[in-house]
Amino acid sequence: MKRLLMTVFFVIFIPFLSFADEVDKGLPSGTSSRIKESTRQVIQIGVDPDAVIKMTQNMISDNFSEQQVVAGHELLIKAKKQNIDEEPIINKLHEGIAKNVTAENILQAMEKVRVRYELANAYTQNMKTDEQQAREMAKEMAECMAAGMDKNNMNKIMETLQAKTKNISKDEAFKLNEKTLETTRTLARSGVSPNDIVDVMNNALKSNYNSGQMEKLGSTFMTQARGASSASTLAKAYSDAIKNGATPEKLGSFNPQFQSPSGEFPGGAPTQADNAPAIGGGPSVLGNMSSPPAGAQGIARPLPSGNQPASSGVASPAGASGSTAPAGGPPPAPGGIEKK
Amino acid sequence: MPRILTVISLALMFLSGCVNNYYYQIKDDQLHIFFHEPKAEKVYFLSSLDQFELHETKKCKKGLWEISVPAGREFEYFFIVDGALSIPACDQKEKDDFGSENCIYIPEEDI
Repeated sequence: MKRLLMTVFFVIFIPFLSFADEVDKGLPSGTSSRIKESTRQVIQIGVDPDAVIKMTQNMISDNFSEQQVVAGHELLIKAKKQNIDEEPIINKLHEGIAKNVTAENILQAMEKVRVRYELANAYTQNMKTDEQQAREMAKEMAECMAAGMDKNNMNKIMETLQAKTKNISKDEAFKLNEKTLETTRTLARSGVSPNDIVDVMNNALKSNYNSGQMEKLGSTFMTQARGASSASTLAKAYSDAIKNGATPEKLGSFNPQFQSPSGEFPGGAPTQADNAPAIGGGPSVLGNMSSPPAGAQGIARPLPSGNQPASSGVASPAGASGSTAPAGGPPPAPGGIEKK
Repeated sequence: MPRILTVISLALMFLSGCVNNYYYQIKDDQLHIFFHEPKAEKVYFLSSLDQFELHETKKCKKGLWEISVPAGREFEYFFIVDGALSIPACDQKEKDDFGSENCIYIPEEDI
C-alpha cells in the first residue's frame, strides 16, 4: 500500500517538477515569479511547453509588462478551456511582435482570434459532425471571419447551409459544409464584400450545388479573379449567373470582363449563340479567361539560374548573405517598423 | 509619337512594377517567391510557417528579391522592406487584426 502511494505521488508530481525546471531554464534570469507561475499554469493546462516558453520569452524581450504577459497567458488558458486551438492565437502574438505592434494591440488581436474561434465553435455545435470534423470546420469558419466575413453575414450562409444539410447523410453534410466554407473563404480572401459573398453562396446552395460543384465554384472563381479587374464585380456576375441556373462548369468559361453585374452587355445585347449555354437568360459564354501559368501568380518569369533551394524549412536561397534573426525579434534594419 | 511611347512605357511600368510586384514559381517542392523592390537595401520575409521569424531574402537581378520555402503547405506571409511592412499585390489576402493584411499562399493542389 505504501509503495503504491509512493508511486502515485511520483507519477502526479514529477511532471510538475520537470515543468518547473523547464520554465526556470527557458525564461531569462530575473523573470518575476508571477510570470513563471503563470507560464507553468499554461503548460499544465496542456499547451505545448516549448510554444509557451517561446511566446513568454518573446513577450519579455518585447517589453511587455508583467501584467500584459500574464494577460497573454490567461487568454491561452481561456482558449484551451473552450477547446479552442491555441496555435493561431500564439501565431498572432509572434506576428504582432514581428510587425512591431504595441503590446496592448497585440493582446487585443489575440483576443479577436480567440473570439473568432469561439464563434466558429458555436456554429459547429449545430452541425452533423464528429469532433475532428467540427475542429476542421471551426478553423475554416474562423478563417472566413479573419478574411473579412462578419458575424451577421456568416449567420446568413450558415442558416441556408443548415437547411440544406438537414435531410442528407452525415458524410454528405460534412462535405457540403466543408466545401461551402472553403469557397466562402476563397471569396473573402479575394476581396469580395461580405454581402456579395452571401449572395453567391446562398444562390449556389439554393440552386442545389453539391459539394463537388461548390469546390469547382471556388477554384473557378480563384482562377478568374486573377484576371478580373474587380473580385466583387466578378462575384456579382457569378451570383446572377448562378441564380439563373448556371452550373460551375458554365462559370468556368464565363468572361466577366464583358458583362456588367446587372447582366447588361456594354457592347449591346448578346446573340442567341452567346447566350446558349446559360439557363434562363443567364450569363453568356464569351470565351475563356486566360489563366496564369501553372505555379505562377502575377508575371511569370523563368527562374534565375544557379538557384539551389534549401532542403527543408524556410530558407534564404543559396548565396544569400545574412542569417535568420532571433525568433520574433525586431527587424535588424536600422529604424525598424514604427510602433503602431 | 513620343507621347504614345511615353504612355506605353508608363503602362508597362505600371503593369510590371506596381500591380504585379511579385510572382512565384515552384521547383522541386520548393516555392520560390520573387519580390520586386528595386530601391530596397534589405528585404526580409516572414511567414506563419515558422511563427513569423525573420528571413533575409537574396537580391537578384533587376530589383528582384528571392526567398524559397516548402511549397506543400498553406501559409500567411509578408515582407519587411528597409524596416517597413510591405504586402505584395497577391490574389489571396487576410486582415491581420493590426490594421493591415497578410498575403496567403495556397498550394496549387488545394485550389
